[in-house]
Amino acid sequence: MINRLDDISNSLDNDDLDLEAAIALYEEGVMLSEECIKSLKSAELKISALKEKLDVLQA
Amino acid sequence: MKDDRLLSVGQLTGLIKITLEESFSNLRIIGEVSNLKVYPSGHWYFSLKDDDAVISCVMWKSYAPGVKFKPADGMRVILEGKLSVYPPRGNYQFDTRKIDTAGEGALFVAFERLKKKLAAEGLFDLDHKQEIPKIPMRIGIVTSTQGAALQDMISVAKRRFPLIELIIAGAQVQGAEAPKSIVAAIDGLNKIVNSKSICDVIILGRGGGSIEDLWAFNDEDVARAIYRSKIPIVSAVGHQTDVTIADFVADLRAATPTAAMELITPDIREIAGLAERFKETYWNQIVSGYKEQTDELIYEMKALRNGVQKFVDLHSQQLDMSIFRFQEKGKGFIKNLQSKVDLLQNKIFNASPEGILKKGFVLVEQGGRFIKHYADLNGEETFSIRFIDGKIRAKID
Repeated sequence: MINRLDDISNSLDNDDLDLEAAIALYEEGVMLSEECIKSLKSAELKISALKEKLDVLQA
Repeated sequence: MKDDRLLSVGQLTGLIKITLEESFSNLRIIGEVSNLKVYPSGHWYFSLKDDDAVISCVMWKSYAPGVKFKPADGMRVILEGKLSVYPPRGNYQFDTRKIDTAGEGALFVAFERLKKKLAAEGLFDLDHKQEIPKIPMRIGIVTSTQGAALQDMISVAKRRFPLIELIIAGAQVQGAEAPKSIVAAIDGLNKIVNSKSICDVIILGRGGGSIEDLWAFNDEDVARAIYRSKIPIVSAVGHQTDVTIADFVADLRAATPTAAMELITPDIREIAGLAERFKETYWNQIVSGYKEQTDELIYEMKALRNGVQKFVDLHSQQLDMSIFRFQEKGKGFIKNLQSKVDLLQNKIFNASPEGILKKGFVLVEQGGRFIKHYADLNGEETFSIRFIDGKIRAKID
């Protein structure tokens, strides 16, 4: 989500887009930025040990 | 006949064993390590040599944990121990109790030698360096679970970017067993589960220490594990001034573990800022950036028929905003207007004399005016009947 928002922001800043494409990206970006603000507010660092992580993933 | 000099092989070897082991029981020897092999049993076998001679050496597993670093072939070391004889093979070897480097110079030489070798093999090539993801969401950490370095990295991650997940692959970071443990951790984080990688980037690090403490990061096997990692690795060993082989092979070098975490995590405030400003910033950017196109759109609008033109002129300000945003909708809106005007014009046409005649009605004219009622018709005079395609004169008889 954050990566996508960053990509969109870079694309709007640097790419040579036509108006329609820019608008489409803009609308996606607005949606993502709203989601992003929400999840940043509730963010909590996750820590796991590799072994446990593998167990969970392989389960 | 009794021969006093006759000995069995076993007797002779027994005598040699007693003589040698008693005479050479507490020794320190200096030389260069070669053919070092660590067996699965945990015992080390190697040779120590100089220009004149070579001696086989062994180091039993129980002594290995006391060694601060894993020696590499070519390293000058000082061994402490005793001579021992192994009768079944009839050979003697140096039974090592302790290994020390022959001064820091010896480590430096070993370091330089490995560095040169790996450089020649291309392990430091810039072409091979992988890009560090700009916003990593899962960070693998190879370090000691006991060290302060791990706690430092966790607190930096918490402060800068708590949205991520840290996956800790605990490893021994000093001592002779460290290289093996570090290699296992790097390989472990490179596992693919359900065709997905476990993390986006790896920090390989430990806090500061002596050159021997950091020696695992100058190990050839560790260097190769870093090289083959498919996940980009940031090395972060010791302090700013410590440079290890791991630093040369890694995709990015950070001065310390804390610095590594700072380097690869975005600041949450920047992300929040981007998210909060997105709507306004890019709206303004689009409006100004696409001025030419939006101007063109307005020009197209102006080229439309007069009726629409007037309407557009009248309402262009409101339209501008909608058209900037929804080009297609804007066009549809105009098309819609146009058809409304068309409809209106049809109505007007239908209501005109031409329109009426076209439908098959006729018009009766007398004395220059239309006759609407029979009573208004002067029966004495002629009148004209107008069709769509002509006119006749008539009189009531």
